[in-house]
Amino acid sequence: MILDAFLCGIDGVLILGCKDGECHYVTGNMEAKNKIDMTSRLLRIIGIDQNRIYFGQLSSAEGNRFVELAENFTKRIKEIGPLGTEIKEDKEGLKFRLEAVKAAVEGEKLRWVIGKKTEFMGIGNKYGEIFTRHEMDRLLDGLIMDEVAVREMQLLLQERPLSVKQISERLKIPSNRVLRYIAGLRRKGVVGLERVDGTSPLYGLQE
Amino acid sequence: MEDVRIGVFVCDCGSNIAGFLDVPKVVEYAKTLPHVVFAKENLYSCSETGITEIKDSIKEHALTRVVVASCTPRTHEPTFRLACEEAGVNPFYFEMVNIREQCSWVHMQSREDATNKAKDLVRIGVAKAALLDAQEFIVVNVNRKALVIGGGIAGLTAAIALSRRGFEVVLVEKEKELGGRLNDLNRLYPYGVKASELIGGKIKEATSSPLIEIHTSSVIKNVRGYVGNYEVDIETGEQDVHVSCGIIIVATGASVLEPKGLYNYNGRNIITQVELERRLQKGKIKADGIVMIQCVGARTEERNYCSRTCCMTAVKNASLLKEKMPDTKVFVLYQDMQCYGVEGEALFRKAKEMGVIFVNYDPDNPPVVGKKSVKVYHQLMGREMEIECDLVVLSTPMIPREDTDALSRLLRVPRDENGFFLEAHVKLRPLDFATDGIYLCGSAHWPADTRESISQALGAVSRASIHLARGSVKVDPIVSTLEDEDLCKGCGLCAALCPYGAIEIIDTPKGKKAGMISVACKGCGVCGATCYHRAIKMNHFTDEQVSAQIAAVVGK
Ligand SMILES: Cc1cc2nc3c(=O)[nH]c(=O)nc-3n(C[C@H](O)[C@H](O)[C@H](O)COP(=O)(O)OP(=O)(O)OC[C@H]3O[C@@H](n4cnc5c(N)ncnc54)[C@H](O)[C@@H]3O)c2cc1C
Ligand code: SF4
Ligand code: SF4
Repeated sequence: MILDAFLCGIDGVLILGCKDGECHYVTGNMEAKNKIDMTSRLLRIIGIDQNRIYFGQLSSAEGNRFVELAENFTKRIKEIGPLGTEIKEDKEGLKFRLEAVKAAVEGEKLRWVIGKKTEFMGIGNKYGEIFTRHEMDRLLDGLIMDEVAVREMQLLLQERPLSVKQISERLKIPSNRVLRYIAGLRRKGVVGLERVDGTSPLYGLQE
Repeated sequence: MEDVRIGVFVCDCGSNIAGFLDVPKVVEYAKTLPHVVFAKENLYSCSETGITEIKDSIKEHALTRVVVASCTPRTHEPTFRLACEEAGVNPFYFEMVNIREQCSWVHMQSREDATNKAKDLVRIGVAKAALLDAQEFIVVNVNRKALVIGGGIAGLTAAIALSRRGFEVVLVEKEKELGGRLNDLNRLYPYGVKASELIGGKIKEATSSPLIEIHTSSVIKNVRGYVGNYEVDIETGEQDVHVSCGIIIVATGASVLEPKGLYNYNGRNIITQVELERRLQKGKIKADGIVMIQCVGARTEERNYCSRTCCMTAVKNASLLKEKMPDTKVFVLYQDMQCYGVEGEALFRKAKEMGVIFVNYDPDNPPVVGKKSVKVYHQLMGREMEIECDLVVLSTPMIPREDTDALSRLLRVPRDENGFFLEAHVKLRPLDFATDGIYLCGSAHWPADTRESISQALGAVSRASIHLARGSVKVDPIVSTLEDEDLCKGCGLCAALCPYGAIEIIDTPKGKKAGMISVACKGCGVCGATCYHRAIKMNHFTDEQVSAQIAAVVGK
């Protein structure tokens, strides 16, 4: 939904929730916080200013604080300027990147990670490892970067089959990373070898 | 495709709205929006006249969706929904736009901006209205039987109160005997009532009531279902018993910390308050000097809460001992005295008058228990004093019972950071769990004395009686639905995240699927926002509806 808003051309999204522990739906604000945190990390990875999303927490009795949050947010967004000013992409490029991010947040992997985030930090993963906030952040960023790149590749390949080199140039990702992603996608049967063009193999999406 | 005919009603709210923005302009603007076939200004939409105007217009213009731009849905949404229903339009084909609290009242200085914002808000509301679905209220029958878990003072009080109201009750007690902690106690503060008399009376009434079915030496083995229709298996030692009930009350009480390794505790001449109570029950105590130490194992790093009842227990027992043996020296070493309430203060004062000596100690420099004496640093005198004594009594806190975790998993209800059961809301719903139809009372929730446990039990019964007396629960259909069973992979993420236990993963002919328990669902949306297969739909807040609203924010 947040990404829909950006895709509609909205420059900033302010989301407000209750304070910790005061959610009418028990854990709703925590879940929202985790989801929004993930979304803003994704934006950062594609070069969009993270401040375009803000999750504020306040109670319904804090009218003044609401005004303050809304005014500050508007001011901040005006300073950053219209969506896309911060990256060197044209309208199409921006849309492409946002679509990739949207695919990533809608995907299985990140939804599980967000859903299990609290649990990972509290009782640890299935190997009993407990993550500190710092470790979690590093882990998340790595994971998200891979996920966005993979989604971007999938979007690109939708148009036509490409070679590793072409993908690497289009997405500005080193070719060894592209190769790693291709290998992963081939294992899952999402991507396959389409044909060989001269010496370089071309990869395409499998039906 | 059905013909979507939207009618928009913009309310003046006297001058509350019309005084600060241009209502006729908003009405004219509304007429230009897609699907809008009729728009009208009302002086007061919610008045008899306003409602009649809305109903008449629905009929006259064959409206199929209604949008009212006025005040907050909190107060008037039900009114307008009813109006729609009476005019033959499904009540969920109604959408409310708030242009008073969220517009005219906060933008009083700027008429033009306010008018423009009202237009925006109406446009967004209309965008959603066009996509609304009809819904039916969900009604489920409530089984009028109740289950009470725990047969202490709280559980017994609850069971008796329910039976007096004519409801059947099943009472499950883990131990061989009913009564709980009160079985161990001598006399109860503040009035000196004999614990055995109080609890004996309750046990007698409960066991002789034809409406109360009691299972002792029994525990809960399995719980399924939702408000109105819980299915519970009880392990009784002999044969398992199955109970169908409408509500559940949890009254499992608390344990008391055993101070292993603290202050040379040995259970002989260095004992706990519980052990002292048992000795007092039997009446055989002889001592020349007695020292009580407060907050043993409480208000520490590991257990940072105050158990609330131990100070009054010490005051009570110190006074009793002094009364029996006026020549015996009785000391209470404390950090802070927690003697809340008028009666508590009075008893504390009386104890001092009787000659009980209260000495404040510093937790960083705690008392030291020796063979025949206790050493303590007296803060006011600024020096260490040595108290000769032949009995040391340690006041230890109530702690969660060992099986609290297991029970919380069975019932799918939460616990707090100390491990006690956690209520739905401290102030608004102190005796309910977040899950509908399960209630909480007594020291299972938090250290509580007998009077508090009794009043909580009565409160929980009155909450539970709402469902039991009505015999049915009607819930708003604004809940999650599994829209596309084929999309669901039964991965269980939604079930794991639902804070109300409203989703079960069930076996179907098509494999494992999410089973939505609509009556238990509160419509929070967590599951819908989580399912990556988009199998779950949130009624009345569908992805399509919300996306359309977002698009309408920019799409003038
Ligand atoms: C030393 C001491 C002195 C006290 N003195 C006073 C006093 O003077 N005045 C006063 O007002 N209060 C006093 N209290 C507090 C009083 O004991 C409590 O307020 C009271 O016992 C709380 O009642 P309850 O029913 O909540 O819990 P409990 O009395 O603990 O009863 C809970 C019952 O549930 C049963 N149970 C537990 N788990 C399960 C399960 N899983 N399934 C089935 N059954 C289960 C237990 O066996 C028990 O019978 C004192 C407490 C202590 C420790
Ligand atoms: S509804 Fe979605 S999240 Fe829930 S079990 Fe099915 S696939 Fe998983
Ligand atoms: S909407 Fe909320 S309460 Fe309802 S099933 Fe989904 S997660 Fe549970």
